Amino acid sequence: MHEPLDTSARIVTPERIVLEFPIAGPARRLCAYLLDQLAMLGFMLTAAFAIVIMTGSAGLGAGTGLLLAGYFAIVWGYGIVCEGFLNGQTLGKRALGLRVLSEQGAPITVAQAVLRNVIGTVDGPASFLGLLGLSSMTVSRRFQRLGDLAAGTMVVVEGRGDGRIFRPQFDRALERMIERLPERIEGSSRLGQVLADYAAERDRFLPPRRREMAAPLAEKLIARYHLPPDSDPDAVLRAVYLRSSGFKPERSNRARTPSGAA
Amino acid sequence: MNSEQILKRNSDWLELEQIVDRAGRFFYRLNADETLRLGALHRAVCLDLLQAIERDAPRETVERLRALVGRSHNLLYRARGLDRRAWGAMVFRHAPARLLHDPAVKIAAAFFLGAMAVTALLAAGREKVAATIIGQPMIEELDRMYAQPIGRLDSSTMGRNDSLMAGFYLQHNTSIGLRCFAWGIVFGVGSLSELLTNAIVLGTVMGHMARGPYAANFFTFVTAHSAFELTAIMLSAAAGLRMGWGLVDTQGEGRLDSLKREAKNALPALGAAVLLFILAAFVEGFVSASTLPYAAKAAVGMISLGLIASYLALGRSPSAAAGDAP
Repeated sequence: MHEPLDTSARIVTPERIVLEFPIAGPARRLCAYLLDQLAMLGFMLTAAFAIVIMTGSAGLGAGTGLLLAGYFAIVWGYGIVCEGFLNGQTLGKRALGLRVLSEQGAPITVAQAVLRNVIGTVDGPASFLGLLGLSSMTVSRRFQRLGDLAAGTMVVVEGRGDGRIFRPQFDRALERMIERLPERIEGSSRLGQVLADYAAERDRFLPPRRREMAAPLAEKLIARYHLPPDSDPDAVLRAVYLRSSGFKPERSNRARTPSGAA
Repeated sequence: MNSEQILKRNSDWLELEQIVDRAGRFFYRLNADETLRLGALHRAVCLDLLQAIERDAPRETVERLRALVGRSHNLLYRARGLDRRAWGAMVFRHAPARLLHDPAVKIAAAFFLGAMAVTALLAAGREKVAATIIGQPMIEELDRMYAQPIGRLDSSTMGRNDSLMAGFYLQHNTSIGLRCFAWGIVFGVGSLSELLTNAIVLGTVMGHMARGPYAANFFTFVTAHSAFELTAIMLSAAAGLRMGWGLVDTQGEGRLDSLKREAKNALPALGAAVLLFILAAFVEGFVSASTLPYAAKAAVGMISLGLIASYLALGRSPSAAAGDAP
């Protein structure tokens, strides 16, 4: 299947659902990387503190040996342990809402975490200014650095719906306009999506701006459905959308709103 | 999809959201009822999502359903956890078989031992060769280091400290090994050059020390841990070569798929290398640097060699190789 060139990965599930994951870009990942470096520094200092307290000044040599072993474990193990056992998130990635997924969209395995983190020492920001990883990201479809390519992983931005429900506002004028429209609205799904977006986002703008945005499309819709030429462009777009998507005024079902729908 | 439908379905969505939240990543946190509901709800919400897309539902509803379906999909179809028996078979049968039959291991061993032998002979045969290869300052440093018998307190430093040195070797040598693997991503060339660099330096040092007055001290020091350490560096380079070779010889697959396959195949060698580096660090820190007699150190060296050989021998049984790509 030919995939369009954009910054999201598509995965088709057995239920024939297309899942879309927005892919994380280099800038966001660099921020997560820097946060992770800070976290590692924090762990190092904590470990150093604990070792000094435990061994005291007498065991200076033994303490330094432990510290070096701890340094090794943190530098090489931090990413592997975090991503392998915390479902693909280091602390920095969690802070920025990023997650490592396998290319099939499943959580990554420990083996994948090992591969991408060990190879990260070669193509990460710390070697050659990260140019190796950056160039790999520009030519791969999913912004993958070499470690991602070898492990079969990608870094996505986690989307989480905020649980809002779209509820259109009706008024008399709008309802009258809806009634003038035909029962069935013909149009491409592109038109439907544009109308849906407009209806959902229009509340963020003031009326003059709404009219300005809606006017070009409304002109054509007015001509097509023989609406009065001086209709409010904003109302025309909403009316066509509400007609095509079958929204009805909510009088009857206001009482049936589920109590948990917060 | 209109508001009436959305409101009607919303309770299902909320229920699925709750179940997915509760499970987090782990299926076993759900009780029987929730597990059954999860499957039914997932299918239902998938259908809702399809309808929402088809009927131009508001984008935020579509986005919310997409995110929800994504999360429940990940919960249902997540990667399988660690199976203890499969893991055991991997470590004790498939991994040694792979190491034993992997041409990359043989190539790495041939390059490493060959380059080391050549440079050792050259450096032992002619005085100036060692200085040309590793430089005069390093030679002086070596001579100073091994001037004293191993294990005696050296008055010029703060004294012998085994655990400090063990920690240092662990950090330093294992990092070299891991980086040696990682550079294999550049078509295996990085691993090979790292391997040869190590072989040449080690060979030169060996050759130089052999002809010098401190040969006894030097060989007393290196005997115990060399089996572990040299095998470790060979294996990490072999792992890098295997991964890089995946980019070269694709066996008819796409180049990236081939890289993925070989990177996975390289993991046993990498794991073995890391384990050996860690063992080598402890032996080097606590045995090699101690005042134990040479016979004891030689015995430790022989035992480690025997351990490596018997581990590899596990891979000789025909059942171990079955199902493994050559």
